Amino acid sequence: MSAILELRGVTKTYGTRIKTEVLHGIDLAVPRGDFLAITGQSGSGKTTLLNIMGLLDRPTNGTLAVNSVDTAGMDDEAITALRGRTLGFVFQFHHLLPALTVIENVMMPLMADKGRETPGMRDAAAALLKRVGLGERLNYKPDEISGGQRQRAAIARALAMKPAVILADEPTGNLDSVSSGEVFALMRELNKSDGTAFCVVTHAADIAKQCDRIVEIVDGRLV
Amino acid sequence: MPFSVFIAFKYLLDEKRQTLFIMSACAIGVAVMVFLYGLISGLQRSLVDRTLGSQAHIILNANKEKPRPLAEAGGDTAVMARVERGFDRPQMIADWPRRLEAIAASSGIVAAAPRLTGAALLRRGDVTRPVGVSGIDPESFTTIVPLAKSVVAGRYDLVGDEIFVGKDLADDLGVTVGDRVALQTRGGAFNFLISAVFDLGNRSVNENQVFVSLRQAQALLEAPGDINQIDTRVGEIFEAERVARRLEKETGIETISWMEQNSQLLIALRSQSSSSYLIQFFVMVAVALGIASVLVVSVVQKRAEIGILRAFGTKRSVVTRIFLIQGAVVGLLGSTVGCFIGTGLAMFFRDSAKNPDGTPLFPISYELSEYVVFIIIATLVGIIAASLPARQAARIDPAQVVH
Repeated sequence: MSAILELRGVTKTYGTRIKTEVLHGIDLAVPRGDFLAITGQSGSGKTTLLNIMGLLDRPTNGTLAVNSVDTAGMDDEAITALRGRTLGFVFQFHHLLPALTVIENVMMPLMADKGRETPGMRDAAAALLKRVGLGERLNYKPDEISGGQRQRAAIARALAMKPAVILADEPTGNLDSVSSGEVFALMRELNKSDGTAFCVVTHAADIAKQCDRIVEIVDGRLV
Repeated sequence: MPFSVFIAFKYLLDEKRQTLFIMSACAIGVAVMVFLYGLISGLQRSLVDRTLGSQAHIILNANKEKPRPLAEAGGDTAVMARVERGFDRPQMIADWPRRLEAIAASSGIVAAAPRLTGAALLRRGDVTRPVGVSGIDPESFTTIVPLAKSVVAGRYDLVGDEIFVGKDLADDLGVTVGDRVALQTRGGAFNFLISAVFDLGNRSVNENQVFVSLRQAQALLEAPGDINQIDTRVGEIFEAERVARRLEKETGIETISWMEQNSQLLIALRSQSSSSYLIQFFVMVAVALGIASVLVVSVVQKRAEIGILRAFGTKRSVVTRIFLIQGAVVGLLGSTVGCFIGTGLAMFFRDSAKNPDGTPLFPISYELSEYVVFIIIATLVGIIAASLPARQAARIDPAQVVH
């Protein structure tokens, strides 16, 4: 199966005078339809790895290929466009834009891509929200719905561009056990039905166990 | 609606109190500018109107005769000369009807009228006053100087031996419409019947100037068929000096514009305008700093949201535009409100203080184009003020702010 994301020998160093290497020679491939758990202790480099995989940060050394295309030579504009079209994000905190309604939040990546609202965009966003169980909350503001609903809205937003991979950083870390279970079940269902790959960074062993694969990162190295 | 405009409006509407605050700052700044402009331009216009209420914009005067030595020095001849002006013979404008017509048709000129001026003594009983006599064609002259509108008693007509006298001269001599006065010149004494008393709002003119028909003046000043002055009115008063110089070149007749005659007034007006512009500039700087500081705070508050926009494919240029649009909208709406507030304040000032004659103590003057200029300036200031926070927002690294 071809890899959507492929990291080869990725290192990441912070600082100019005093250099700190956070990731050391990471090799990792994420094929289509994968459901990968990345675990590790705090400070082990999980989030740094996720940022590099999500094209939010660049590796110091090594390569990252998206759909077999090396991203090293791309400028900021090309990286932004590739990220918007290929990747989706779900964070520990939902990060819905408070000024926008739930449906506008889901439309946001589509509008950013097209530059404006186009016909059918609103219907597509409504269908996604219906799918994650928020069909009745389209015009609510984020602060008018529960924590679990916000995270489901965030998943709908991540799905808006039909990305090949969704990168989720502790997506259930801020939720109670019931909401946490519901959100994970939703991600699993989307993975199965749409074939969207998920890379889930998590502390929770029970969540990691339910994933197809688990990679552990210790002191910036995959073990 | 473009995505950047959509997000900009969402932000402005979401932070209503902040938006209202920043817009109020802009509105107050523009209101001060509008008020100041209305007041200063009103005062200036009033001053210029009063000045031009009794004089032509450009006067073409027959060239004065220059003194010449009787003998020229040269060769073995030395001349001891003392140049002494002789009797001031009035010089006339030759072929004046044709030249008047040409001047009236000249670009920048909207009206021209002939005039014959000279000096005389006005007698009423035992009282004598030196006066300037102007022979005019009443119909064309009033298009240059609003004499018809300035008539406070009698009728604006000069038939036969009729004369107009100024209000102050009439008061001084104790005469009024229907009374007779005599004008004494080298050519003799002529009796005139006062047909109108005028008030041109200029004491000097009201006291020292009388108007008779051109024909009567020609007889009185022994200049049959002649004139020594052409008065003109220009379309754009502050172009008068430029037009005057051109006319002088074209006609060879000495010209003097109202701007040259009132150069001190113009210097004062320019100084006043400069002070006004300086105040307006600093007000706009204050407005810009206000907008910039609120937007800088907004960028800091929205770091995570901007990071999310960037993570989901929003380009840096779009993030920049979102904040520039906010600055522009604040400038545009704030300045529009400010124009209303400033005008209202100026109207209040105008209506609350009056001169004894009922005219406003603070005359105000506005033109629609000035409002447009203020709104454009404020909108540009809003955009410029937003450029720093916009650049700051565009530089936000999503990896650093989104967790």
